[in-house]
Amino acid sequence: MPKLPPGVSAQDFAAAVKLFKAAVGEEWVMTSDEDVNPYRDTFSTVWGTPDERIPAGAVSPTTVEQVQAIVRAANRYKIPLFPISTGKNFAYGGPSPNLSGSVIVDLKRMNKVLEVDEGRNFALVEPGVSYFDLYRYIQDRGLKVWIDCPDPGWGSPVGNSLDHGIGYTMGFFRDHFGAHCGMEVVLANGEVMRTGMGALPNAKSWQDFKYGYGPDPSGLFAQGNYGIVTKMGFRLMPQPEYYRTGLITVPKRQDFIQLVKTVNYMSDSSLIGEPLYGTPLRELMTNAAFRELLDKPGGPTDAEMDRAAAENNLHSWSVELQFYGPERTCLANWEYAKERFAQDIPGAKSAEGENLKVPLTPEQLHTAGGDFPSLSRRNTTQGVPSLGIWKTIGRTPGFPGFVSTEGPMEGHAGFIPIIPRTGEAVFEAQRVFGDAMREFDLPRFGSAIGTPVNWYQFAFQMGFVPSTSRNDPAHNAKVDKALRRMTEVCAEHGWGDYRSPPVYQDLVANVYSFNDHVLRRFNEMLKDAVDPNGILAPGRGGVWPQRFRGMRKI
Amino acid sequence: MAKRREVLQAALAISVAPILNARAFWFAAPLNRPTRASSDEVMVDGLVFDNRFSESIEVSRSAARRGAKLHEIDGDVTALWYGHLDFHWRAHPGALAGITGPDALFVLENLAWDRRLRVAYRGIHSPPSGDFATHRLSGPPSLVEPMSPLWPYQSWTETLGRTLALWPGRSEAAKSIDVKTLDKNTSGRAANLISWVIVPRAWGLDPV
Repeated sequence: MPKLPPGVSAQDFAAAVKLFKAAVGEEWVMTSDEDVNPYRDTFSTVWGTPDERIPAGAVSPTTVEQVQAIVRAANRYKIPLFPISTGKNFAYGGPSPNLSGSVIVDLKRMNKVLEVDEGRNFALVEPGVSYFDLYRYIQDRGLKVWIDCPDPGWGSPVGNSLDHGIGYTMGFFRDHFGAHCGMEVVLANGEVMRTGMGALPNAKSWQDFKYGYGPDPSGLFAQGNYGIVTKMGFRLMPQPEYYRTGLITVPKRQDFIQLVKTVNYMSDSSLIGEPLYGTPLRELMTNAAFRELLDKPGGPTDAEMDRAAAENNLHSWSVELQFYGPERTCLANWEYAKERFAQDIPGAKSAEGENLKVPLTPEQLHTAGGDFPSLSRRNTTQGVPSLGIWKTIGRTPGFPGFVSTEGPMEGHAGFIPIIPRTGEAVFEAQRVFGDAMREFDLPRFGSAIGTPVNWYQFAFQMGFVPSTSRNDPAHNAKVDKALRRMTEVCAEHGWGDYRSPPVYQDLVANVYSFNDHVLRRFNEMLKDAVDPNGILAPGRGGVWPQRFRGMRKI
Repeated sequence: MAKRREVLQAALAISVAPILNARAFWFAAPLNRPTRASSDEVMVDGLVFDNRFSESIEVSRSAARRGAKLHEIDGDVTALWYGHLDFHWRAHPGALAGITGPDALFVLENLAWDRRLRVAYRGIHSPPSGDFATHRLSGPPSLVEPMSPLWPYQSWTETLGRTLALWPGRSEAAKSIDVKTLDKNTSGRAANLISWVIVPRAWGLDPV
């Protein structure tokens, strides 16, 4: 099953493998069928087709020096490398490369937590450190700092942030790349570079001030292919004293516009954590007449939606607010929220959630209480990594396609484009997505009750997460077609995806085409300059080195 | 890896009664395992059962009677991973058996790959349809061959639990066997249930 790198002879590949083995030891260079299998994208829409990306093998170093040796050997024999941290970002390609025949540089054995500073609130970690590892390190030492973890939490802070991953606590920390501070990178020529204050020998503030002096190239290494990150710093949130929740509901469809404005004010003033938008009208989905109303081409009118809400004595929208901090300030911010929403939106109502001392008990971590059903996955709101989402993700009504004979789920693909953080943009996205998806026989995505997520503090995202199946190529082909179509439709409206599996990265990068694709041309000019042999993750982020540029697939 | 003989000797020092029970069971059902060499067998480190499925609970009870340590999950393996496997698989991994939903195995198998472990036995138990259920068992012949012929006549959960509690220590090329059992879908299960054994790659068994 392993595939040779394109343009590389079997003899040269064998010679490179010999050098890899000399660098890391025989056991940690893996080229058999079984070795390669875990580095396939098990959620791929092109599973088992010629388009699936199959590696040539994997090599797993433990030190920076070994990474350097691997890069030098790759340069010598022109072997494409694809670095991963833990390779757990399923729905975005998992550990699979952009280019078949790449050798995976699996950094899971570089798994040391190098430093956690409770007073200055930062961590410095190697790429193989998982969120579980960092959480355990902090818990074992009783440190009063929080991580902000994705869900599931088996990925790594380095890998997740380098793929622009997100979390669920306060705004600054939810943006995982934004919350990084300082990195160490092995460049394509084998040199080791440190960014920010780390460029100063004996720096005392590497994880305190990310910019250092002069141009900051750290952004190039996120969704990029200019180096292999071997250390990375992250800002940590001080453990809050209390956690409080509350719910605001508003009666009319158009109230959503002001609801968003007021939530934005509270969020950008750092008064709340992640706001969780919802709609009480979702309970009407068991009603055939209501489903028919939602299915109207162009969507229902505001008056029709308001009538449906009023007839069922329901409000149109809700937002669950989360407060972190001292008990008194959490309460004060919640009291302020109730007053402010009542003042801004006629008919707005509030419901009390919970007021909990941090850290939460195991029972509190698993079950949200209060006077309303919470939309949160409680562990994520507390920075506690979990694997439990693998059990529930396939069982929610929004993902009926996940139920198959293989189990409640086999896989899914993520398409969650960025849209402006306004009610108007959400209404437009509901209409556009709903109409565009009409041609596909897939679970509903986009309707007049679709709500945004606010993972990134200053943007909304609307999700389309269709199921995939290794046993159903026809279904995968349908999903593939829908994902491609939605990428185009979104681009026509000025919306673009933020993250993508390798098989769609060229397509997504292609819609970021301002001024005749100058961004891509600039990125590829840089790529050719710093990686002339094109050995580092060719194709990642839609950036192809000269040598492989013909491999781009739109 | 601990041999079954060593496990028995160690256990005798603690309590005689459970071992006598286990031995009694062993000798009372010799036809279940005609080709297995007991000196090669190892007690599994534990058996993971998924309390969402009645068949999984039945298998766990059978394995426990044979002396297997049980790990209960409800589909979510977080506590199992964070509280046990993360340490255990770093320090001294052995054979871990389980019968779970495919969602739980998906997570555990991915974590196992990272620690140089592999699934060396996999049983796919389809939901009963009409009066029958089908099972595809893949793994070492010394495990799957003696186990399957009896299933049409015995409780497959009982036999499977007994079998998974002890793992054949020898290296063999894997094979697959299909079995049909008389079964009614009393629990309303819609998805496959998977029984499995994860072992260190160094043991040299085929991946399945």
